[in-house]
Amino acid sequence: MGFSWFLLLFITLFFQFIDPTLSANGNSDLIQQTCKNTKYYDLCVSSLKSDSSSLKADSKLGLALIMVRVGMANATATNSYISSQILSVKNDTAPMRKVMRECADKYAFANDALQNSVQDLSSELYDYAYMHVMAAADYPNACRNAFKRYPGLVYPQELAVREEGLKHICDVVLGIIDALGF
Amino acid sequence: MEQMPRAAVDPLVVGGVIGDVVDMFVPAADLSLHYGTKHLCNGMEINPHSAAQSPRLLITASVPVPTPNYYTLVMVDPDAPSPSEPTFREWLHWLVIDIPEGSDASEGKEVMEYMGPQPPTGIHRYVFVAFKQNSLMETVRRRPVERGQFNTRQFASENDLGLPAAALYFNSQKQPAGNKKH
Repeated sequence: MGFSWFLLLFITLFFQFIDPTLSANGNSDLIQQTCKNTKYYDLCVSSLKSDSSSLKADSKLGLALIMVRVGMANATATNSYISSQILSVKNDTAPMRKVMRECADKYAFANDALQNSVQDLSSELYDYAYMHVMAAADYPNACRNAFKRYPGLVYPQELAVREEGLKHICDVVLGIIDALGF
Repeated sequence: MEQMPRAAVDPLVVGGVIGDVVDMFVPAADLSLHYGTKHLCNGMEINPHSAAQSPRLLITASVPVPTPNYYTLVMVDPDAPSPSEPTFREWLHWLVIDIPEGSDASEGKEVMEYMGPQPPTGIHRYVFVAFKQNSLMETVRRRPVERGQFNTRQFASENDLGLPAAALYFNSQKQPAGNKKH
């Protein structure tokens, strides 16, 4: 019994030595290092950790790509949310439907912009990627402004929350790209 | 040829604004640009953080006219994403129409919301171009959806704006990580 315990310990330590990422802590360091240069550290860490492929990422670039995917999912989810809300607009006296449609479009464009950045990141064209992410972060503003054009309409709190969410994710991506050293 | 218009246009020639963004023109208006308390003249540099919010930009006719005109203001970055490879030229930062003569750009109708400079790499020029309108426009021919690859000349032609009435540019570059804005 003593021997098998020792063997088990030895094998565990052996694998720990040859492949540190097998341990839970292995990739946390990379995530922490990458996230600490971003504007929203907690958001960065939690978003990356929520994606299982972050455990296999071995570079900041890999983490950047994951964060962009997080942003795309976020923008797409908001687009879906808005689209579903359009259906429940009654008594369209103010042009609520028109504005909501415009907003849905803007979040779809934000998703497209992030998609464009993926190619550039993979090709190490960091400044191009940077501008695409900047554009993505700007699209929610266009939605908010669409509401402002009609004094009778109130910008829904839910959209304000989602606007901030996407912008923060984009800010994190920009922070990661900054550290990719161009 | 008068001395004054030439002197007002030379920095724009040297800076490449005439050529890269607009064609040679005879100035008919003056632009007065302030970010906070900082007054900017052609070719001056400002850091991105200081230009994050829209500036005060006053448009006044060089020669007083009996019936004041409206102006259109375009702000573009011809050096996006980088001065050496400006494939996103021009990146539209701000588009305002129907600005009454003698007033600030904020009195006009914003078609594309202000986006401050965030140059990923290199020193970028940020160019303001003011066009005299024939009448109140209220809308533009094709409302820009994307910021990238905007064409000031084409926009002016589409909307019958003619040659510029005035132009002004400043420089900006990314601040080193040590001076992080936030």
